[in-house]
Parts: sequence; structure tokens; C-alpha cells
Amino acid sequence: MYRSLRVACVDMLFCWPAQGGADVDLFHVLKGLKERAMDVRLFVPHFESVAGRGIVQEEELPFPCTVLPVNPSCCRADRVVETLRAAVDQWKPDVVFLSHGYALKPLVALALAQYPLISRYYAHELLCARDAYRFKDGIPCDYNYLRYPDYCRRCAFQSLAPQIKLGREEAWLQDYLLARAYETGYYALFRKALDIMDALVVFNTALRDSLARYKDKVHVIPGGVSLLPEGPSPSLPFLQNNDKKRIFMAGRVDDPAKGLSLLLEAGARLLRKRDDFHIYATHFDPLWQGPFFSSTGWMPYDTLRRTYGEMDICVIPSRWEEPFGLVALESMSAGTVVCAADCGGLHDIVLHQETGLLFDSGDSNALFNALDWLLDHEEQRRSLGAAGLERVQKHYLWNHVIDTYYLPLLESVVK
Amino acid sequence: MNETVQKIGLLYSYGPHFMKTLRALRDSHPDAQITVFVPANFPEALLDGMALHIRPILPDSGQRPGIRQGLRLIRAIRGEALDSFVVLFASPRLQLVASLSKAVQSYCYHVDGRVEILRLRLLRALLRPIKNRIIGNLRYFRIWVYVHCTRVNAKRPQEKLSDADPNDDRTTDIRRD
Repeated sequence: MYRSLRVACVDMLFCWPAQGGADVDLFHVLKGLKERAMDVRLFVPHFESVAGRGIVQEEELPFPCTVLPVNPSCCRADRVVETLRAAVDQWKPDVVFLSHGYALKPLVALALAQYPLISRYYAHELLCARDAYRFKDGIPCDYNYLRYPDYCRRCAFQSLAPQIKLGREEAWLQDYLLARAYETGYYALFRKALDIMDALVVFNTALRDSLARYKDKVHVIPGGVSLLPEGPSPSLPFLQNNDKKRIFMAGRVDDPAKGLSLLLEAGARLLRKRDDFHIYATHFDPLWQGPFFSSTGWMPYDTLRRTYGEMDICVIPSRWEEPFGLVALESMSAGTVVCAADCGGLHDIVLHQETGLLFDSGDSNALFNALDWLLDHEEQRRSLGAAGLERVQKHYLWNHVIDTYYLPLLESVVK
Repeated sequence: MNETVQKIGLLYSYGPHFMKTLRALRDSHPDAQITVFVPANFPEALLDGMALHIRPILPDSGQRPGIRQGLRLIRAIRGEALDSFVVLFASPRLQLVASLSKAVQSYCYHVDGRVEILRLRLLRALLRPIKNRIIGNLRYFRIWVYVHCTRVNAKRPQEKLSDADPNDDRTTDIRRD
């Protein structure tokens, strides 16, 4: 049994309804903690000038949330940090959980240094100064902000320059400018914040290995998934009325790092050999379509989850080091076989030839071979899908993730 | 948007929230007549089951809309006698279309879910990007000066990055070129 704690969670980007995987992840973690008698409260700054920051429908959350408005006319890092600190201090937590955030996060951590601190990282924001992807010129970047701060600082400035000039502020750029992450002094604050944190939480073992210096306090905690209750098959108007096998790619497929071009390349090669397949992708634009591929358009989350069950193969051809790979879990939970790039978190989730197939990231030939084999072997496809479902039920259900990872972590940090 | 609205028009734009907005409009106004203005090659099957009035009158994707097509679109929108007209971006061009739509009220459904009532402020809409650009360029110049005039550990020779272990996070400062 674990004792009840007051857990303050500070998220610099949270939105509900969710605008990304990090929001969904945090939602389930806080919900799970609350169900286990933890006293949790979420603190979110709402930046009025920037899309996708702190737009929260509080009545839809199963835990209390404090949204702190930040006036765009006096938006300064010290004021934002001070507002958050005052709100958290007033609530008197036992432990502070810092979730999603970019360049402002170290400043918030330093302001809350008096509390036991746990910091969750959802992608590569610790290791990359230009965005959370650590992905440059179409391939994963080898540089590491912790080791090459000045190189990464200049790279970040060069990459963000067009946005700065246009005066278009998105969340990453806003944090970058507010925290003055372009200054040499920022790196010292960044390191200091890492030093004072009691635990750093990442999604996969590769990320943990990149943080060698902090190996004692880095914890690998996967995300989770909920099983869908039994329900009727959804009406999916995008499915074509033919008996072709369905290959599915879900997620933000229009993002080049997700590797849709790789799938199309493999698909084009496959088409020369056979025409018994059709590729469906959750591309936001319904007009995105071709001879062997088409868009599903945007779907509500429940429909999307049920769509996996209607597909024969789910492909995750990520070119970047995918930190987790929620799509893989969702597909496995529907019993659909996963064919994924062997990188980042996907390497941990999918066991090659046991619960799915892995292929070398960026290698369209390997993807072509994997798809060709899966299309030919229906029996193996089904057994891999069933093994995937079993793995999800055993390791990745939210209740398991909370009980196995989060409760012991909170307890150890407070001790 | 008022829930009693009877006739709603939505203009397609290339954006991640077209289908999402359509779904939100249908859910919030189950009895309203929703007219969607889409490109001619739009796959209408995707909209099955949503009880929509589909008007495929926009030019195909990839074609630049001309003045004649613009006038045709505006005539079509006005012909619907809409109560509400919805666009997906608050750009000057869409603001102009919204103002000519003859709808009682026009709205912009933003990517992040915000809903904004559109009023014709063409001058402001045109000036805002210019203002942002001037401020942005000044900011860029200030940071450029900082970044390029800060000498970083100049005594240290530049390390060949290809020889270094990227996973070793001991700090290595690199002299600027």
C-alpha cells in the first residue's frame, strides 16, 4: 500500500480535449493517481496569444485543474514562473510532477526547487534545442544539447529564424524567446535544473542511455492504453468496397518525421508485384489520395480506436527516434499486427517476430519485404496480432503502468 | 455559435481541422442544414452519414482560384441565404469572403478549437502580418547580434563531432566558425 500524497502537476502545454499524445498520457496518469486516493491538482498556464496552450475544458477532467491566465501584453518568463510558483505554494504539495514543457520548464523547476521534483519528458526536448524531435535534414540528429550546447544553440537559432522573422509564435518558439534559450547563460540554468530534479522520467531505454550523466535518476516509464469496451463496428465511409487487404498508418502522418513517404515508396514497389492491398492513412486532408492509397480524414478518437480492428496491418514507418509509439499500442490492443521501424520506443514495444515485425528505420526496401511477407502469410499475421494483444494486456494497461511505475516512483521521491 | 441556427455554411480550406470542425458543427447542431463548399474532386464518400448538403464548387486542389471562380463561389454562398458562415482561418481573403457571404454571422473555427466571431476588419487583418514581420525582424536582428557576437570558449579547438560519442553528455563547447 502506498500513502496518499498531495501531487501538484505543472504542465506548460496541457489542453483538453487533448491536442497531442502528451495530454492523453498526463490525463491517464493523473486520473489513475486520483483513483488511488492521491490528492492531485493540475496547474496549467494559459497563454492567450499562442494556439494550443492551456485551453482546458475543466468540467471534462476527472481531477481538479487550475488554469492560470497569462496576459500577452506582460508575458515575461519571470512573471509566468512566479505565477505558477505562487499557485503551487498556496496548494502546499508533497511532490511536484513537471510534465510537458519546453524551454521554460527548467526555470519553473528552479522556482519549485524546494519540493521533491519529478520531471517527465515526452520526446527529445532534453537533448535538442531546436524542437522536441532531434531530427534534422530527414534523419535523426547525432548531436546532443547536453554535450554540444553551443552547436545546438546556433542550430536552434538558424532553424527558428524564419518563424522569428515572421513574428509567428508557436509554443516552442514562445518558450525559446521567453526563456532566452539563445543566450549562453541558459545552458547553465538548464543543467542546474536537471541537477536539482529528483527523478527524470523518459519513455524508452535509448533516451535513458543518452542521459548517461543522470543515470541514477532516470526512470523509463512507458505510456499506457485502455482496452476499448465491446461495441458495434463503426461506420467507416472511407473504406473501399473491395476485398483488398488494408494497410493502415495512423497518427500525424503529414509530419515528415513519421515516414509516410517511406510507406508510399514501399507501396509503389509493392504495386508492381501485387495489387491486393490498399493503404489508408489518417492524413488530415480528404483530398490526399492516389491509385493505391487514400486518406481517412480526421476521425474522433473512439472511431479511430475501432478502425484499427478493421485493418489487416498497421505500419509505423517513423524516420525519427519515436520516443514511445502510442499507435503501436493502440493497434496491438485491437489485435492488428504492427510493422514498425526499429527505433526509439517502438523497439521496446514491438518484439520482432513475436508481437509484430520491425524493420530498419528509413529503409523502404526492408519495409517492402516486411509488408510483402505479411500480406502473403495470413495465419502468421493473425498470430502476431494475438501475441501483440496479449503483450498489451500484460504490460501496457494504464492500471498496470500506474501501479508498477508511478506509485513506487512517487513514494521513493518523497522519502 | 447560437444553437438555434438553421442554415450553416462551411468553406473548405487545406487545414488539419476541416473534418474536425465539420463533425463539431454537426454534433452541436444536429438539426441544422449544413452546406459544405468543397473542391470538385473532394471524395464525398468521406462525408456519408453526416447529412450534409455538399456543393463541390471550389477549384480542384492544385489549381489557383481566379476572379471568375471567386465570384462564382460568392454567388453560391449568397444563394444559400445562410444564418452562419464558417471559415477555418482568419486570413484577409477568407475574411473578405465571409463578409460577402451575406450570412447573419460569420465565424472562424481555429485549429486549436477556438471559435471567433468574424467582423470585417480588412485593414487590421492586412496590417497585422506586416506589424508582426517588422517586430519579428527586429527581434531576429537582436538575437542574431547576440548569437554571432558571443565568443564561446574560443581557446578550445573545435572537436570533430564525428569522432565524438554522441551519447557521452560531458559538456563540449564548440568554437564558432
